[in-house]
Amino acid sequence: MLSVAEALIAAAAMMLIIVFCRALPFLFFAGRKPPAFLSFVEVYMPAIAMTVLAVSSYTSIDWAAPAVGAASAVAGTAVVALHLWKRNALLSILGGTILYMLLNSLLVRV
Amino acid sequence: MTISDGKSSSAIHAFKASIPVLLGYVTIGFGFGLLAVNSGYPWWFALLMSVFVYAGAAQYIGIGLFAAGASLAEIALVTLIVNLRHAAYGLSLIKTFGKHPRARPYLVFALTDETYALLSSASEEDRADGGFLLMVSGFNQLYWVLGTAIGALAGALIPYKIEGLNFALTAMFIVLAVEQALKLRKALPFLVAGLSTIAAKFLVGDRGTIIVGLLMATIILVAGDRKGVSDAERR
Repeated sequence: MLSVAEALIAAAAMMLIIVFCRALPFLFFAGRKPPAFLSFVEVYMPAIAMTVLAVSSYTSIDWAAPAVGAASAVAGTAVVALHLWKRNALLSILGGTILYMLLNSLLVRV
Repeated sequence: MTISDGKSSSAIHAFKASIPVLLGYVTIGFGFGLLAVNSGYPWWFALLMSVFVYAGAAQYIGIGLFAAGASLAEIALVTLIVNLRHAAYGLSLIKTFGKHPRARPYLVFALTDETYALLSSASEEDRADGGFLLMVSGFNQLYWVLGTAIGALAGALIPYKIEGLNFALTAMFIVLAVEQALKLRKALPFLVAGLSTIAAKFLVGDRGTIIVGLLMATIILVAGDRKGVSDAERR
């Protein structure tokens, strides 16, 4: 775990990078045609980034203790099902997390 | 600047326009505050991040990386990759923001996914009003900071660690991925990204999974896209 001081430095770096990302088109492309790569990023990057982040939270599970993995898999499936059904982000996240917490306390502690 | 009738009515108008974001930001902000304190950071640190970093997904990922003791380079690269999409948002707002040079610095700073969604779908008339743009952006950040404050307070008051809360982060990524799938209506990017992540895990282990997975998926898809474009041109 990073200390608070280290985390403050890291957070400051994050701030600079995020401001840079948000300011990028205003700095470089005002009045010019943006490169094709950026329109690719606009279309596909959110999908790639979210999939990688979601899958990586599963690959980092210690599958030697299958109960945690099972709880994550069931709760994750529930999130997808809830979201396809109601398409309400809050409901999907809250429902999946509560289910995970329940399964976690039932399966892992036994 | 005095607050004229015109200004106060436009404040109400901007508030109404920001309502769709209110509930989402207060609750996701709440989750962030709670997560930050649960991960061992003080309440004021969570608040500082929501005021100065102000980027939903990146803040959640950031706390996860801080708690895992990630290196500065790793944190920087992940932040860059996760937020590059914001560069794409600005492209469609160059003209709109260009008309309001004094408001522009804050408008650019506060250009989150949700604010972009509101501003880019606002009427022509509203987009011509710098005060409206500024107030909608400001209201949104207010909700985010407010949610963070309440969550951090709750985290500080509850003495024990809440088991399993960090699944909210996984759930959020799944929801955002499903949203993207419903929008793109293509399986390939998700398949490539998912398999790249699993491959990255076995190639470099947990510490580098996200970066290597992102790079691998992007390179494969960009290469595939180039080929698709040149195939289409040949036809």
